[in-house]
Amino acid sequence: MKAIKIICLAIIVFIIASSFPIFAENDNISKEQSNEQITFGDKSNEYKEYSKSIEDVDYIKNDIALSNPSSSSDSFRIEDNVIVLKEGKTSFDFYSDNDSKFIINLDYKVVNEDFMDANIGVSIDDSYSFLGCESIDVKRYWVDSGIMRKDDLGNEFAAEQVPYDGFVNRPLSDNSGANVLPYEFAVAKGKHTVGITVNSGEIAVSKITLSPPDDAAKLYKDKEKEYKRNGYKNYSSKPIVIEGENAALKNSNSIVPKSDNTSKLVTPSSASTSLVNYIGGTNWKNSTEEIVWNVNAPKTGLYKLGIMAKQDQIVNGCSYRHLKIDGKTPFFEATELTFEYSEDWKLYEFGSGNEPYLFYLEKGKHQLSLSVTLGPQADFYSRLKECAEELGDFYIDVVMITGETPDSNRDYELFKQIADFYDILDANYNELKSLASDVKKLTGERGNNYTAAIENMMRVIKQMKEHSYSAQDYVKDFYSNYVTLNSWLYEMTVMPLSLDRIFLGNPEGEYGEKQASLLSKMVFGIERFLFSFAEDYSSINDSKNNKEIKIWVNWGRDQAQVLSSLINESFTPSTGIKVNLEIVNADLIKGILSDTQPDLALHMSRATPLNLAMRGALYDLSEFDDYDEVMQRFGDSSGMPYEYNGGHYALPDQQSFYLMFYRKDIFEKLNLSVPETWDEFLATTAVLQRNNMNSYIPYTKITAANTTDTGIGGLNLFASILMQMNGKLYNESKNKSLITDTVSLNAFEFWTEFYTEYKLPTEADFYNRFRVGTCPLGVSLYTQYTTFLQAAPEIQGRWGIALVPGTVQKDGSINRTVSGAGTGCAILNKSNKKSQAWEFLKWWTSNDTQVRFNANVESILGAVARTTTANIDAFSKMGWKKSDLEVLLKQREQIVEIPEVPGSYYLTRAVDQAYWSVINGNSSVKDAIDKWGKEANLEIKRKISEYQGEKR
Amino acid sequence: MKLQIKEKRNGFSDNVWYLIFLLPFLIVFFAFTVLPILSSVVLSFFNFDMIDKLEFSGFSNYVRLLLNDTVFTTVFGNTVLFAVITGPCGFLLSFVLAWFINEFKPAIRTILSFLFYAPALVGNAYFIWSVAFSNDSYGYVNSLLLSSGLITEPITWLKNASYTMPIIIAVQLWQSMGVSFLANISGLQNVNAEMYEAGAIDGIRNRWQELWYITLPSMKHMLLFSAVMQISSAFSVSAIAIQLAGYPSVDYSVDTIVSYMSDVGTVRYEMGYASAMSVVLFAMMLLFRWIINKLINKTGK
Repeated sequence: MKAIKIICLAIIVFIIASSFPIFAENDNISKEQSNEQITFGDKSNEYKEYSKSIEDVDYIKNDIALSNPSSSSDSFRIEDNVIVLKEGKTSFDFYSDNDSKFIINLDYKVVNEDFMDANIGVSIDDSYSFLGCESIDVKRYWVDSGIMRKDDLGNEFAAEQVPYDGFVNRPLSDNSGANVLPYEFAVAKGKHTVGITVNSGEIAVSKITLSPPDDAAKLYKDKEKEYKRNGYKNYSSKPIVIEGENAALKNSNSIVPKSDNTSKLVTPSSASTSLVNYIGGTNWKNSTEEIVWNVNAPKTGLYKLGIMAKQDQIVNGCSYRHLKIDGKTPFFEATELTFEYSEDWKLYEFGSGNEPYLFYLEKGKHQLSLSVTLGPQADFYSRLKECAEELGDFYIDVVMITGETPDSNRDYELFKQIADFYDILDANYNELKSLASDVKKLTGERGNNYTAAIENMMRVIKQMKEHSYSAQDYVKDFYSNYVTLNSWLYEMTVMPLSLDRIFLGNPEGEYGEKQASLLSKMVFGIERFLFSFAEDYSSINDSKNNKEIKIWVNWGRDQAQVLSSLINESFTPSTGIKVNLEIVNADLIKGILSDTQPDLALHMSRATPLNLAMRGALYDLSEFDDYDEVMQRFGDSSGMPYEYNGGHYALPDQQSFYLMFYRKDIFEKLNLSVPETWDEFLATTAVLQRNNMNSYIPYTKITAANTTDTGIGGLNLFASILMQMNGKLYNESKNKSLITDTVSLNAFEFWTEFYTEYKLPTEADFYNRFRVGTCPLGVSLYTQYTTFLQAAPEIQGRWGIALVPGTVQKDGSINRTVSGAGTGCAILNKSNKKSQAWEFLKWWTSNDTQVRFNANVESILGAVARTTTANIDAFSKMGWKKSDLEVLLKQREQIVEIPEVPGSYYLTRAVDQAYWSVINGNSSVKDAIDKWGKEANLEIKRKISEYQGEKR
Repeated sequence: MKLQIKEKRNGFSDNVWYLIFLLPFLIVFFAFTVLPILSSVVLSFFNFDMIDKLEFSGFSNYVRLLLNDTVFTTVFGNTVLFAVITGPCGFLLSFVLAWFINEFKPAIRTILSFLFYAPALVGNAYFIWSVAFSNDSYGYVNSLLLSSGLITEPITWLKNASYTMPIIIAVQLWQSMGVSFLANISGLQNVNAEMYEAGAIDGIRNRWQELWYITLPSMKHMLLFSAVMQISSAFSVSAIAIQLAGYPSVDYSVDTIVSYMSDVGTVRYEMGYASAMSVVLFAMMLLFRWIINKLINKTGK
């Protein structure tokens, strides 16, 4: 008997040990590098494989609490009896009486001062058990700060989101949504250590518990038996109603209460003003985003659940939510509550057949939570993602041989050149086929839209396979279907849901919810229509008081409302200055002409301050004593574009710049390193081109408007390259362009050679080509970063950012200057409240305001709407990945802004005109620059003499 | 009664009622059409940057415009070329098309008329041409040519002066023919069928004579309407060129007076100069309208 036990044990230990293949020999994983060390596409240590390998291990019997770190180190500190984990690794020892598996719960609070979530890695006995446990997001929890905000017209909008001060208890789980349940770890009998490596952030931990999982695997029918066995009674009084917008906690600051004033079904509702009445919507859509509500159960008993919600985003699909009561999943079915498409608010009920699911609550306070989950789609998602990654690699392999536009008459013999051509196609074809049928099984006929993407991909694969001699003919088809497949992959993870109310009611009774009749809907609609005449949509504040400063912004209503609330909370109370904020979608110049101009305007496009200043319409901000002090907030040359004749007419409020993006996986494959100089960039490009790929540098088509709105620095790389060669666009006295100088000519020639000699595309969809990999290297505005991060899951972890290449100087150093672009805010000359206006500008451009403004805007519109603030300190607090922030800040330091001069728009155009005549081969570099440079100088001269000839 | 009113019509006191009924229109017409025209004529003699300067400058704006501005010369040429090709050509084409289509059975005629009118109806649909002629290798035209092996690298259709003009003219024709085509169709249908019978008896020998002596004279007003519409719209085109080729286009190859005018007025804030341009454009349009009138009056003679 004993012998059998020992053998069993040996087998188990062997299984566990064999599941650490990668890290088994390599114990000392360096903290920062751990992300990069993982080779992609290696399935042997995916969590799925791991959890299969520990299937037979029993769950731990009793909870084990880990309290004291096993060694003292500088990776943690003790504060008020709580361990605060800092970056680095902290280990905890424990003893397991048996071979067992468990989940890891943390009682924690994220305490780092930026508003980021923390990220940790969890190792057992100094090795990572599976792919994914080296990077687990530990989310910060948020609460509404105090009461609902209201603008002066009575419109409510969400309270500001502030970090929750208390501790929460959550198990460690997968953030991507591919694995729905918490991670399970297994150990053999004996002494072990759990290592927590904080990759970024700081976490205060009051308790770490190893425990068996909750009832997430238990089916409802078993649970029901348990209810009967225990003799639980049904709850029998009036239903409890929880208003969704009164959430107690949420783990993202994006999840804010919102208002829907288009329906009578949602409570509270009003036809005249917009009231905050629901939560979620498109801000509650990413996997693991959670909302917690407090509920007070009047009696112990069994309750049924109803949710008044609207899922009007996924037309043919469902949104899923995972319900927990006091942090515990009551039974399996609660892990995937299903919300089908509905155009209007609808009462969702959950149950099998006509029998509602019942939930047991004891009398007293409870916490009810719903978190976004991919539910049954999680499996499809991870399978499809795998396919997409393989097909992406395959596409790159093919394009490396054939190019993006293959010659159909050439014999490429792809099936010979690509080693496992048939295997890859076969495997993915079969996998897609089974995926399609599984998706159909889940969704029935309405899944057709979704499976169409898969089926089209299958069709192309099949054609390539069957006509392998002419497989190149399908490359373009492959590309377009692959892009569609990827966008569906992204859409699959998006699960928005608007939630109005949660009901907990008598299992036999009704919720007392009536459907609105057609008549009442109509009456409501008419009321709303009539009220629309009374409302002033352009104003955020009501009063028309002379004592306040008037501000114009040309923004969306969301941003303006955020600004208005910040003004009411912070600016007006601290300074006593009242503000009238107006959304004006018109030229400031028209306001000046009609004498309705504001005192100050925000976000003025690049050349506007100068254009107004030279006509005497703006006030010189350097007249204020503390101007120089305020300018410290921005980069060195940030004020340059707003300077005219020695005066400074605007403060920068937004600033953007170029950054280089590259695909790590492709660079690795081709053995390339990230280029530091333009020569290296071109050498890299040559390698890419030999493999039928390409690089990208930005070029924006110019229009009459963007020559003044963006300025020359934000349209293409010419200005950056010129400055790297130590050239300048204008002379010292700023009355002549130096475009015809030799250095400018050289810079221009170098720049146009990218296109003429090296055949970089003048126009390309960089975003999509970077995703599919045919453009694995490119320079683009840094705002692209958030887009890749948010919307391209299939290349997650496979790309990086780096500084824009530079030009080698005579002394061997590299000049990496880049030009900037952005907006400014200015005070009008006609204003008679200049000092108040200046107070406002100082407040608006301050660190605190910029950070709060951005946090609020992001919480409403999502991270993609991140503002491009010019305030460097505020910029660094906007939730960047730590390693990336370093690159971003380094790049920011390299910005040199270009002055604007009267008529400078003409130089932008002249460069563009010269560019095209060179690209089209119509004239030589010198002729083109001569011709257009002369014209630009004429215009600049004319403009300057017009205004400075008779300077007042 | 009717006769009495007609007799009394000469005295002003009797016309007062007509004027009162016309007043709302006259006010609007004066405020939004006459006044702007007059004010731009006045402004064209001033320097005005919309903020602080309004100074009399005599004819200097006109001198600069006509003698000293190479860009204006280019855009003037472009505008005339546009007007001549998309105006008269578009007009003739739309008439011929209407004449052909008029021969079909009503059901087919309706469908065909709709097809030809559709581009004018859908407004910004010309945007698809910017996708078709995209400079990228994934633009429809480039993609087609590349895969058929006719070219080896994408052509920058809308950024090369030798391609832009033909493309813009084609798109302009495609879009603008609709209105005058519709006017022509309805004109053709209003021709009294008895006239053809009478013509046949009086010795019309073929369809050409029928067209020249009967059809055209009897739809003179329709012709005038569609010609004026076509040509005045041809003078004021700018949207399509700006959307497809950008403004400024390469070498100003497809920019027109209107796009240049809005550039000068709204980007450079030189309202006086822009006004001078608009006056020149206005004069050109009047001239062309007069020529058309003369030409159309010649039909049937």
